[in-house]
Amino acid sequence: MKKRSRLKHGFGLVRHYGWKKDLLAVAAAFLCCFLLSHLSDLMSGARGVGVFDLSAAVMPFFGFILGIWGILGFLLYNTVSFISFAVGSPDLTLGLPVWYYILSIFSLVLYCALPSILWYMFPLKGEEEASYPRLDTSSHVIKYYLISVITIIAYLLFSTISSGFRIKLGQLALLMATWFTQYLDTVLIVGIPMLILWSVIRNRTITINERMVLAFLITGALASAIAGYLIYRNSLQLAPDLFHDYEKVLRGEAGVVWSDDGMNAVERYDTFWNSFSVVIAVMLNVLLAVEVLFMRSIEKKVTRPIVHLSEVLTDYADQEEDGFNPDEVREQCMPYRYGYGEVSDLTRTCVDMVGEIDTYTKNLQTVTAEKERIGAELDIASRIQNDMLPGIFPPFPDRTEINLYASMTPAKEVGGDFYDFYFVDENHLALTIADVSGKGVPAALFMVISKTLLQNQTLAGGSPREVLTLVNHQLCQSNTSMMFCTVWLGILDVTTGKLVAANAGHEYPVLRRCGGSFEMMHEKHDPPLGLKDGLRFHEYELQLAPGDCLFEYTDGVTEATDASEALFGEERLEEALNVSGENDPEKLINSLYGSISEFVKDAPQFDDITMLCVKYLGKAEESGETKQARISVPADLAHLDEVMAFTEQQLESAGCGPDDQFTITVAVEEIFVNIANYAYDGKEGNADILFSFNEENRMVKMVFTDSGFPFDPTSRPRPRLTSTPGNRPVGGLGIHIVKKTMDKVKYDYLAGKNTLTIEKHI
Amino acid sequence: MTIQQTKDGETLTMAIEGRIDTLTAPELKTQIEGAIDGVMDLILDFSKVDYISSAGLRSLMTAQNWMDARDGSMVIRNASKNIQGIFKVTGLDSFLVLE
Repeated sequence: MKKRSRLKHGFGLVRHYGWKKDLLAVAAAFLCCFLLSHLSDLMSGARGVGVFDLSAAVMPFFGFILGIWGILGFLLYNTVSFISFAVGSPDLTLGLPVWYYILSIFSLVLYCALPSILWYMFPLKGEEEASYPRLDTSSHVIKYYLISVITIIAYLLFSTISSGFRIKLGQLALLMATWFTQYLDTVLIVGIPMLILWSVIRNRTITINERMVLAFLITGALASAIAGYLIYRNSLQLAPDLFHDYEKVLRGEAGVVWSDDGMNAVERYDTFWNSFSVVIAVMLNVLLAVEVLFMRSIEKKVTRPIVHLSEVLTDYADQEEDGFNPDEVREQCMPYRYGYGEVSDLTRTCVDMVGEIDTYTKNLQTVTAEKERIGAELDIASRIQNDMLPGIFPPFPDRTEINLYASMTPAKEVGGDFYDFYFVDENHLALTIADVSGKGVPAALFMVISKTLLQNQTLAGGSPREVLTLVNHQLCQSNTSMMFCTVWLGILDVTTGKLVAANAGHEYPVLRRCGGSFEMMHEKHDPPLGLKDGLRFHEYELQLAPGDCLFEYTDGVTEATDASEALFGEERLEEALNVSGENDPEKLINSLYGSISEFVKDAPQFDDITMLCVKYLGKAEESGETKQARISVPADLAHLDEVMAFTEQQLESAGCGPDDQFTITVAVEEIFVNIANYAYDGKEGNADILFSFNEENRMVKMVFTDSGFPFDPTSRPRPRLTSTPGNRPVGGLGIHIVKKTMDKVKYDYLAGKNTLTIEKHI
Repeated sequence: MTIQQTKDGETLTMAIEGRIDTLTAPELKTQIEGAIDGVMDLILDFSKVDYISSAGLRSLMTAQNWMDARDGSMVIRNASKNIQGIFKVTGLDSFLVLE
């Protein structure tokens, strides 16, 4: 796998950056060779003998960095320079055999490609695959150094072989040593900065190691320059005309010039350059070795611990949820606790931090567990409390006299509101709604006591007044925390519809008479239970008629608050109940709950919302499947058409025949016109009409309600039909028709309202 | 409610169509009042009246009074069974002439 990957990339040589960049690489290599080669010429004077071609030393660099494109650029330069050199000469091959050129080109390519091949072929220990050539660690510096040495030796050997051993062995060894030193100098002093520069360009970062290598190289270069100067001065002392003589020899103006120490000018010149390059090589190698040792120490003591520490902490952070053991972190960190000051400080801090996190986590777990336990217990408490409230609807499926529904929505887990209903005996239904002061667990506990006492006393057979008086006494016995409880308690005789009720500081009940609208009953209040012992409570009676509907609630309804702190209030409650038009207690409560939610919107619920609604249906024979519809219009003749359309529509849907429809519509018109003309005496007011149809006995019942002056049209004397039309009184005719054509006409004045009920069998 | 009037000498025939209720009854009264000058025989054709309430009855009684005052006659023709029922219930059948 690794091998294939290396081969696939041609040991880092075969790269394609896009044609523009590839061409640029070729051009860069070409230009670089050109510049370096001219720099070498400048340094060595007219002919490069002492200093060899610098460009040769950076050849590996091109293969290393630019891949085949660098090699191509280098070959291109060599070809161009060779041709320009050979153009002046008569023989283009300079008298050398062709294979020599082929071999030398091959050796150049090999020389360029070898470093890259070696770099990718031998990944370092711990490396999955050799990384992109870079001197970011001391190991990479060593690798680069070794590769350079191998490459130079290989190249020199190959050149020697290709030159066919035309030099004597002793000379060859010396030459090789000289060349090796010079190549190595160049590879280090030019190659390394180029490599680092390239790395900076490529990665946009520079590692500590790269900085250090550069620093040591610059130091080396400075030291070499000083050393070089000293050697130069020494040489001049020995032979003041060294360079002058040497140039003369080169130009053929002089023969062999001997200097004082017995060397000739050429030898002296070579010795000068050789010693110079040896000094540089020694300096650079020593400094590089120092750098590598220093960096290895830094890496061992600083870099690697930090990297490892970071890995350990990352693992810790990742695995913390699964309970990563902090001891493991401590163990992994142990080797670094006694390293360099900063690293050991950091390690200790990390270990301490992990320990603290662990303690904190354990604390948090304890607290969370505790919280969960309390939450679970509150849940159970809430369930117990919920179970205490009758929750199966309809609660008395076999009792046709009543239709009952109730709901409680607690604000917190457990609340202080409750409702209750149960039959005291065959015919007496007890209804309770109550609200305990405060919220949460204390309220819930007090609620349980209150509810139990109320039920026990009621079942024992007391009237509401007696029950409240007794329960108040019992609650006051041990109520040091001064909690209290508002209660509305009513006992309904389902056979007669008589309701006896008492109110201990609770909200006013809302009553809807059959066919009427909901209105708050402002009955007399007694104080709440639990505050003062020995209080006497009062009760009142209310006669419920079939179809009447009683709605009870707690202050959670009227004091539901919207975001702007406005209260839902009693008026909105009445309005919402009337607008809803629902006739079924369950639907009515759900509809009201909807209205409250709509009003409150996103504001939090502060108090329990509890509602109880009972509809009295009366004795079984009167009940039956009924259809109901309502209309409420201003009592004005302009709305007559509306009323008539409503009536016709209802009658049609009830399957009423044309004759009955005729008489009923006439009756409706007469009654409505009567209300419109007289009820409000010219002032504005509404007329409500409730239409109901009992499918069983095919009875149409219509109830007309207005809040005008009390007036009973049925009590008017019968119009004197025997008189001649001229003497006839204007009014009275309409109601006469109604009375004559309807089966039953009944007038009531209830809760400030005129109620006229007509019934007709169809 | 629409009324079609046909005058033939002293006989006026008014064919009424639609509902005679509280809202339309005054219109009926006005139309009769405006048309009975010189009329001795008023014929009200109820074949297309499908509804009448007490307000309509009052208009009819007023018209009857007018005709009685000038010794003329008023006849209601083709009243439906239901409308006849109303006349009967109110006792108007004893004053009005129904044909």
